[in-house]
Amino acid sequence: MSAPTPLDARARGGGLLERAVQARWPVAAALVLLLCVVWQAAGAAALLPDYIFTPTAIAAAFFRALPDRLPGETLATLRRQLPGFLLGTTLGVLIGLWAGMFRAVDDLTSPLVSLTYPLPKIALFPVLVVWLGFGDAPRIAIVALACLYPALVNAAAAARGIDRRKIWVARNYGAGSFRIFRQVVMRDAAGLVIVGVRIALALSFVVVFSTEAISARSGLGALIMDGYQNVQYDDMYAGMVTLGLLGFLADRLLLWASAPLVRGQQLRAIGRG
Amino acid sequence: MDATVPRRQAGRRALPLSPAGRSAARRWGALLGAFALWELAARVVDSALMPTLGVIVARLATDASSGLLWQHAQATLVRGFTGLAIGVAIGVALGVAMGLNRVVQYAIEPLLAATYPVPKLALYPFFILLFGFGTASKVALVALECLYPLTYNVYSGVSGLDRRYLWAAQNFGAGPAARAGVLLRGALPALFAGLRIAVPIMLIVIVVTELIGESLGLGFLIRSASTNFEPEGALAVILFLGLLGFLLDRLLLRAARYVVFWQQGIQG
Repeated sequence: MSAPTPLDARARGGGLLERAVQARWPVAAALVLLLCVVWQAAGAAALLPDYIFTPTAIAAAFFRALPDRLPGETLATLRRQLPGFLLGTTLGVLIGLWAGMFRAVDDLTSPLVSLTYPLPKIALFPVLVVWLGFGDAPRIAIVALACLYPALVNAAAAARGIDRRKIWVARNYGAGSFRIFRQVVMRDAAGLVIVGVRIALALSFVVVFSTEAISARSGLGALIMDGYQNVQYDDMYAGMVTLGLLGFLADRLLLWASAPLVRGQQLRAIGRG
Repeated sequence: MDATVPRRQAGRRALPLSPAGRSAARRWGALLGAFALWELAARVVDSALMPTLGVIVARLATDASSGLLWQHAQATLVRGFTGLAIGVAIGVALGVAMGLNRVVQYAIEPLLAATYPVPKLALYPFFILLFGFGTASKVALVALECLYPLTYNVYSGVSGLDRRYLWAAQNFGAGPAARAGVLLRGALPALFAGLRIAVPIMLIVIVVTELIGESLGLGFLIRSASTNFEPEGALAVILFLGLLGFLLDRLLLRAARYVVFWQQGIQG
C-alpha cells in the first residue's frame, strides 16, 4: 500500500502536538480512544439500549468466554476456513501464474473467470449442501471457490506484468523452465501474488462466517447467530471479537511470513477480489 | 505474449487461422466446453439433484414469466444499490477529506488498514438489533463493506492528483466549488476502480444476508428452492445472479469509458 503524500504535507518540526501528529499513530489512537470514551459514557448514563454493550462489557464478555466456549468454536471455524483457503489459493495462484505466462492458457481460463467472477460464490452454498450433505465438505468447498478468484486474477496479472526481457536473459544463460519459474517469475510476481492471497485470506473469514451463520451447530458464526437469537448477547459479542481478532491476526501473520519475498515493496491491501 | 513458444513453432502444423482467430476459437471453445461438461455430467448422473442446462434455463424462464424472479430481484437490487449509494457518498467524502487534510488522513488510514481484514459481515446480528430485521440492516452492512474500497481508492486518487491542476484553478480565480470540481474530476478514475471492486462486494453482502434469514430477495429464493430440494430453482437464480453481476460489471466499464474518457482502461 503506497502512502501518497497529502496535499498539505508541510515541513517537519513544531511543538509536542505537532510532533504527535507527525508520528501519525497517536492521531488514530486518539480518535479510537475518544470514540470509546463517548461510547462508554453513553452506556454509563444509560443512554444505550441493553443490547449495545459498552467497550468494557464487551471485553468482560470476551474474557468470560475465553476459557469456556471460544477455543472449541474457534477450532471448528478454523477447520473449515484453513483447508478451504489453502486449497483455493494454491489452485488460484498456480492457474493464475500459468495463465499469465501462456496466452493459450489465458484464452481458456479468462472467459470462464470473467463470466463467473462477479457472481457471489456464497450463493452456491445451499446447492452444495444438497450435493455434499451437511457437514464441513460444502463449507470447505465454498471457501476454496471464493478464494480461488482473487488469487487467480492477481497472480495472472502478476505473471502478465513480468518484464519479458528478464525471462529472455535467463534463457540465454541456459536456465530451464523450472528455474525460470522459480527464480524469475516467482520473484518478479511475488508482490501482486501476495496481494491476491491477502484478499483471499480476508474473504475466507467472511465466507466461513456466512456458511456458519446460514446453518451450523458449531463455529464462531453459529456462536454469534445463536447468541443473537437466544438473547445471549455475551456470546454474540465474544464471537464477534474473536472473529475480528482472527481476521486481523491472520492478515498480520501473512504479511510477516511473506516479508522476505517482497522486501522493499509496498503491498496494496484492497483490490479486485 | 507467449514466453516460451518460439522453440516449438517450427514443427507445428499451420492452422487456417490467424493468431487472433485462434485465440477467439480457444475462448469460445473453453466456454462451450464448460457447458458441455456440465451437460454431460448431468446426463451421466441422471438425478434431480443435478439438473441439465435445459431444465435450469426452462426454470429460469418460468420464474421470470411468472413475475416471481422480478419481485425478489427488485428487493435485492433496491437494497444493494441503496447501500452502495450510501457507501459512495461516505466514501467520497472521507476519501477527499483524507486526501486534503493530514490530520484526517493520519486518523483514518490506520483504522481502515487495521479493520480491513476484519470480517465486517459478522456485525450483521448487531445491525439487526440496531436497525431491525428488514431492509435497513442489510443496507447498512452493504454501505459499510463497500466503504473500504471506495474510500481507499478516492483517497489515493485525490492524493495522487497533480497539484498543478489545483494551482492553475486557483490562479484563474476558481472558488471553493470549482476547486472541489477539479478534485472530484481528478479522483473520478479511482472512484470507478473502487466501484468495480464494490459492486461484487455489494452482491456478496446482500445475498448472504438474504440467505441467513429473510422472506424476500434472491438469496431467500435460492435458499427456499434448496430446502425444497429443487436444485434447478436455486441454480436458475444463481444463473440470473451471474448474468446480473456480469452485466453490472460491463455497464460500469462502459460508463467509465464515457465519464472518464481521458483515461484508458479502468483497473480495479
